[in-house]
Amino acid sequence: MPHKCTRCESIFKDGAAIILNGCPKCGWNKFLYVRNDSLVPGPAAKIETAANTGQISPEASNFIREVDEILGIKEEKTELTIKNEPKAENAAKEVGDRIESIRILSPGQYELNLESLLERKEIVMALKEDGTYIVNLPSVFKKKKDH
Amino acid sequence: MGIIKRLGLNFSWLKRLFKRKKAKIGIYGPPNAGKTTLANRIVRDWTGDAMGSVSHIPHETRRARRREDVTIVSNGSSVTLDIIDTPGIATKIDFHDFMTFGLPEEESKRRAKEATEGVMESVKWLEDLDGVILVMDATEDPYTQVNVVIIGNFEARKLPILIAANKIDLPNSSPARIQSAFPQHPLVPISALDGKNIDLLYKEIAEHFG
Repeated sequence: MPHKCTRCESIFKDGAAIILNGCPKCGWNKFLYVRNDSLVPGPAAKIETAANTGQISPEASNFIREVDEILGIKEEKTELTIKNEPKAENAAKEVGDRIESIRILSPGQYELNLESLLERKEIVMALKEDGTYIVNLPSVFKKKKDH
Repeated sequence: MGIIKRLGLNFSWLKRLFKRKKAKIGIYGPPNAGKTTLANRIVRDWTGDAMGSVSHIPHETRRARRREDVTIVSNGSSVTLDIIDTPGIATKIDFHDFMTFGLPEEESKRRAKEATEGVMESVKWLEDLDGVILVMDATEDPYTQVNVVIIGNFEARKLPILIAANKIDLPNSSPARIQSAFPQHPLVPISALDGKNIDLLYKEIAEHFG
């Protein structure tokens, strides 16, 4: 199958040896297998225009993203390329709004949300980044100590 | 005989009740700032004991340790404290970092897990404290998320803070940088390792937590 550069989207014939040293056009070294039929200009162009004219409002796209997170759907590539800027903003906001006190990325890799740990009495754990959360009930029901 | 014994016990309980409350002081800070080195020095100087082991690998202290009844005498005034040495507070703990220090993968993962639990334990202790010695590495940039967040939280809890700008034995240390970052709190530049300025720290401890 032909390879497509994921940055400049140039397409290289099946077995093209030049890409072994990176994309000759932009130097990128990530490529995607593409089917021959997706090379036909018709459907590809259609997808792009549909995505561009979609014009989802930021609130709505945020909501969709959250729903996707809850359902554990991974963001599709098209979404990534279209919503590059709002994504970055969301990421910045997210740090403050994150509910979990600890995110377990993999065994031995942890991200701690100090604001949440210090300010909330309950402990919420997030597993990976797929929207799975574990709530520690004893910590939720614990009465705050009076001084 | 039994009644007297019981009475005796009751007396000791009464004595405890009327005894002046001691201040509980937590030693906090990011990993590898020198918290345990400082705790060791304080406890060794005033009681002759040691607090915990130190290491150049971060997160060596993964459980909080408490030493009761450390009486510090400075300038004629004495203050009795409970010293709690806490695990380093971090926002990200990754076992790969420990592997770069040559620890095997399994041990690195275990250390990462324990270090994460340690951060939570440090936070839990906050509810029970009367003051905090915040240890910062004076060779590092003080404007970190950890420092800013924990200082903000200590302030919200109205906990008195004394900043120990540690590692002044190193040539590239800059306690002034920490002072300008957090000018609202008293600061003592120290070297917990070689004991430089440690008397000044005791004086400040006696003044602030006495």
